[in-house]
Amino acid sequence: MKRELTSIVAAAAFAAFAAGSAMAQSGGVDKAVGGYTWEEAATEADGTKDFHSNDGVLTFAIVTHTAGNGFFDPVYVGATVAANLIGAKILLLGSESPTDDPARELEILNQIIQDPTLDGIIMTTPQVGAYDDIVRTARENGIPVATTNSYDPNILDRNGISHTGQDASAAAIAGEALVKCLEERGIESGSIILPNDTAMGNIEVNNRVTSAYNAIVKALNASGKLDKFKVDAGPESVGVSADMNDPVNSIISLIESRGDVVGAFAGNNVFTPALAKAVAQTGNTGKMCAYGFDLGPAQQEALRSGDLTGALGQQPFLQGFWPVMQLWLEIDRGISAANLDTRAQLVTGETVGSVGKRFEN
Amino acid sequence: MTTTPSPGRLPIQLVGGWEVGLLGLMALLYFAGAMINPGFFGTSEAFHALLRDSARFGVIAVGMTFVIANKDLDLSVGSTLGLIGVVFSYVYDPNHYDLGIVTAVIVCVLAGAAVGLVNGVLVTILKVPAFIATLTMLLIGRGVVLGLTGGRSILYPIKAREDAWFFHLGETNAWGFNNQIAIVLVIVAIGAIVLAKTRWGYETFATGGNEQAAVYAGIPTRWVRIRGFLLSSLCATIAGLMTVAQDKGITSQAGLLTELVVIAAVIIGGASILGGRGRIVGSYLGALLTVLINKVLREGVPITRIVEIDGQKIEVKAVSTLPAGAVPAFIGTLLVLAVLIEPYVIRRKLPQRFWAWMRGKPAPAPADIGGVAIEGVQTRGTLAADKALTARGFGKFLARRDSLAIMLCATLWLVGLALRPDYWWHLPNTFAILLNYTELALLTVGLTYVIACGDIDLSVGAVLALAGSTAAYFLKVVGADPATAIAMALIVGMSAGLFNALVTVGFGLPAFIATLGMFYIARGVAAWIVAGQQLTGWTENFNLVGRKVGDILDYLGLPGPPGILGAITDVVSVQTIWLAIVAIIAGIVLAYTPFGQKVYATGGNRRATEYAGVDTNRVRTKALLLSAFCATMAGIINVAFFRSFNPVAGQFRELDAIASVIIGGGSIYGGYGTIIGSLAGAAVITLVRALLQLNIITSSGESFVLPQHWVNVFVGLVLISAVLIDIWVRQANILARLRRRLVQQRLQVQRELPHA
Repeated sequence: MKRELTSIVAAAAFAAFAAGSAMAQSGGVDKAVGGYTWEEAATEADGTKDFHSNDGVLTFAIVTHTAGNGFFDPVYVGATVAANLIGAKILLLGSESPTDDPARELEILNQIIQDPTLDGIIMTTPQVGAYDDIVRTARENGIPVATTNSYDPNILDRNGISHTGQDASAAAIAGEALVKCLEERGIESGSIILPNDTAMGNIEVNNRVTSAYNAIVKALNASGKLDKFKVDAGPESVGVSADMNDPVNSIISLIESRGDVVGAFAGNNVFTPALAKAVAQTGNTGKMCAYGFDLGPAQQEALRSGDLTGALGQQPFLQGFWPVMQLWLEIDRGISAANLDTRAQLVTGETVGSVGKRFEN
Repeated sequence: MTTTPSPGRLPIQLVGGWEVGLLGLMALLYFAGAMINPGFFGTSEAFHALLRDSARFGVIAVGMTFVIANKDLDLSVGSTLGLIGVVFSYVYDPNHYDLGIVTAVIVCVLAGAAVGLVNGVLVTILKVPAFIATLTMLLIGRGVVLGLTGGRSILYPIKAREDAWFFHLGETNAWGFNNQIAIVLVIVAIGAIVLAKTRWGYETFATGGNEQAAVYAGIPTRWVRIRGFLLSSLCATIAGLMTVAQDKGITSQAGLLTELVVIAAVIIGGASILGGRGRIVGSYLGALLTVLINKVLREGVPITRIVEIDGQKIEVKAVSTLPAGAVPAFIGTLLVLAVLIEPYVIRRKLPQRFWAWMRGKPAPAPADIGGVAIEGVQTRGTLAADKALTARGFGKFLARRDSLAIMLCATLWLVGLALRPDYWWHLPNTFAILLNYTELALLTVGLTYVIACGDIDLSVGAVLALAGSTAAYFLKVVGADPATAIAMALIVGMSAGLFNALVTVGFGLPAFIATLGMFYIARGVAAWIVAGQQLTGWTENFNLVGRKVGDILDYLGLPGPPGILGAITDVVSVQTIWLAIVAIIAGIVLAYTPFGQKVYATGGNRRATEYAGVDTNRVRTKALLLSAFCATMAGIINVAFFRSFNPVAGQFRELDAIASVIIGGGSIYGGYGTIIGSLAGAAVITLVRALLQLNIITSSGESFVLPQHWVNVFVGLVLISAVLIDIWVRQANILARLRRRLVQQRLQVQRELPHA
């Protein structure tokens, strides 16, 4: 039954799409994709408004694995802005834990997926393999799914699910910048550390660290200086072990114990502000090439003060905004799942001014 | 006999042999550190870093020593640290109240004192066990931190420049050392003198040593214990202020798990969890030792790694360190060893006897080999149990200790029904909530036995992770078949249970310490086994353990049963069925078999039970093994359900599980607890969460969800209400007393009326 509905929606949307493009060719841009209102579309094909809940209003839920440390705030803002634009309702949910808790996220998903008023789910997928049942149940219930932020390449029906997020390979940008920074400052030897809580097991963050590590090693190797540096990201290349419950002090400990740290990279919103504080508190401001992730207020402040050399924004606003739009397009216009790579925006002390408050998300 | 204290000497000292031992161990560790990394440990910088990083733990340990010497416990210090950081930031931050630094500090001190006062009043006047009272404060404190910050960091580096004198307290001063070191040394000095040489200290030791005797000696023991909690909270407040001074801001995770580090430090420092013993200097050394272990074990030796990048093999210089998880595993082991040394080495005079044996002289007799476990008899709630014998009908139900949890559970479910009548009661939704409930419920089944025995198991969440990690390792890395993986997980998980039982029952350590040690060891080893990574991608056969019955039929290519049975197989999960089986068996055994009665008897009054001919050691061992077994099953199911293992599995679940058992009518003193009650308690927690994430649709068509950040506040409030109602309404029967007083008043009025 549900599947039938979905196919009616898809067919209707396709019809609308076809009609729209025909109009577009004849010059009627107002009836092209996006030019229709729900009501107008419904006059041409009755099924248009029969999305899953059939209550005349779209309700989406966005569920993340940690709503307790602030990173996902701009994501929620983006989702809300998008929902307001299209007149949809949006439920902002997530594990309340300040540290990653995919198990809690699964609990939330398990429950809300039974909600008959729900028309679409946006979720993060930091634990590989764990989300297949959710996808299956969603499909059976006729609820479309979009993933955002962390990427699970093997999730059930990957090709049918849009993903919005940054490819972890973007972290290579920071790795290359770090090596360039060392060259510019004339640093010829020392240690480069990539701290990460390896007991946290966030696959996305681990991949970023690996990617940055590989980029650093490659760039140093290319310039023939690799043997002068110690580059350390732990035995699995996913990071030198640091404690996420006490990130500042554990990075300070690393810097002090290694003694010759000249460069560092941190892979998420927990360790990057901590790295900046550690740089400041060990008196390395302006000396160490310190790079990290995300552009929260803490990172911007650290870029201005020079505690952080550069930070990679993964444009989290877009990670909330786009999946809502994508689901809407899927439901309304039958546009199939399209992925969006939010890429990375490398911001440094010179360019941080242009990232004003308005764009800090 | 020089070892017995002369009568004229005061029994309490500032320092003693234990501290010398700790210093010796630290010197050894420091030396090891210097061998590995002379560039760091060879310099004064390492010493400075050690003093600085242990400063906050040291400050909290001072207050905690008072509490532990009082025979109490304060689990709330970590969340108080975070709470004070947030309160300070709220008052001071330009984007919030933007008040002055002095105001902010005063508000913080008041808030800290309020936390301590609430703890103290709950424990002494309202007679809530310290463990439960401070666990409630831990949950509420954490919830308030998350609720107030919404998880965000609050930072004010620019405004902090205006009040440099305050923020300088967290920084390195002109003499080249961090001011936090000065703060901790001053507080340790004051604390050491107060505890060892003043009336406050004597009162503390008297109260912790034997409260009844202390009362007869005219010591106001209630005030002494409240004072302990006040000192503990104020020390946590100072640590919170040190944190904001250092970081010029606060994050939502500040102070996470600090309580366990500090308790471990105080116990390693020589204090007894059974009260009446403890020295501030020892506690501070314990804190230093914990931090030093952390530093030394994170050291490494230079190596050259060969990494493959884009198919090209490159040699990279790096530092080889112990894997993630080694540090907690080592700290846990040390914690247990430190507690074992006192009764088994020092009190039995092993060094002296060894020395005598070496010289061929007769060995001196050990002074006392009674072990450490001097445990009082703490049967409570007999009045309520008596009432249950005579009650009838609904009164009989109300007289049950678990009635409250069952009613609350039903009420919460009805609230859900009222909010979303359109689907709340549907089969799929019911089983979805049951699925969310399974892990916690499984843990509480085993824990109910342990708590009914009068013990506690803090390691359930960690053992869950350990078993899951073992199963994942064997499936993924070894490539074993599912049966082998499950068997190995069971062996490893049960070994953890056996260790708990050995240390608790065999060596007579309090279960709190033994399982706190196992908490660190199991979590550390779990992360160690998988090298801190997620493991995934093994045969789907294994994952069937965590699937819905319909999925399994699909996988096996079998047709589903028709009709209502088919609808049920589509929604019911294997683990839910498994939970039902385990819970029914465990429930029947606990309620209707001799073994169940032995469990209650052991927890109710161990000595009387032993005189009655019951081997209580065996009963307690079985209970601890059952708890580990349940946690192991939960771990195996966790890995199958998620099709992967994540080292954070089971984190903080021990707190939920303990809260479930207590909400369900279990007594932390032992002797009470039913499986139905504990399951209802777990259901209460699951339903609170379920309601907080429910899409509530108002009559005007608006949708909203309740603020989930406050979930721990709700759980904490339910927990403390359940305990208070149990103590005051059921056991002290305050309602009947009130009624009696009212009746008497009316009688008096009636008697007076004719005269008028």
